[in-house]
Amino acid sequence: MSVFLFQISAMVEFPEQLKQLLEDPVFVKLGVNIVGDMRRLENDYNVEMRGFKELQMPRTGERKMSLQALTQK
Amino acid sequence: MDGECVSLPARLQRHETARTAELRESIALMLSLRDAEDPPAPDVPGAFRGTEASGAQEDKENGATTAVSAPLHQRKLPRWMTADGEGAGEESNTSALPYYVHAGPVHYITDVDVANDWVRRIRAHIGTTLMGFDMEWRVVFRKGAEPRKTALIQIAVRLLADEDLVINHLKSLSN
Repeated sequence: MSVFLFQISAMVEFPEQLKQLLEDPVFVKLGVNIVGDMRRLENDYNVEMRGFKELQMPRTGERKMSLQALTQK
Repeated sequence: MDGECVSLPARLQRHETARTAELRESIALMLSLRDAEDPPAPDVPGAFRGTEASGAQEDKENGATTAVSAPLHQRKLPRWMTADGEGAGEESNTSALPYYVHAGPVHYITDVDVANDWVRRIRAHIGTTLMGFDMEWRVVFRKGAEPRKTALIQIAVRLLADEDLVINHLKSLSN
């Protein structure tokens, strides 16, 4: 696995290639509360993320699972 | 390599290596500070301002004096944020299971052109169409303040090169 950290705040503009990758439904983005991130990206940089899956388990009556808990094998 | 592959100029590659080293260093620093004690809160106003205050501190009870010289930016992470923390995973039923430990490369990118080059590379060399996604932004604690823009986007992908690593690892195990 390779990890990429894009420090957008240090860049003069949002990288066009990254925008295209995030908007490409072929590449599925997995995240906790990813819908929140999607809304935020649209609001901040006009990036309309497509192709994503929610990692948070919608179990009612139970505490929401954190990313930390989910990364435990 | 195929024509789709965009190789980074040597200058940029060096830049990336330096950046990655910088990131590793700061992580190491963070981990070393993790176990350090928080300096006790000063009971004298202005005790943290500089050397003139430390003279006044020495007249006080012993114990408070050593802490004054400790760096102010020291940061103690909650126990659950550390892999060996006692409270790790106590809220879930998976506490007995080990954490995922990332052993692959971490690329810290601060330049638009470098970012675009890397995304082209990711597209050309991706081993699966799945990727982990997360992002960070600075939180503003002022009431009614406009939230800050997204500052950092994190992506975790399995590249073909990563799969080679796994295959080689498996081969070495079977020998």
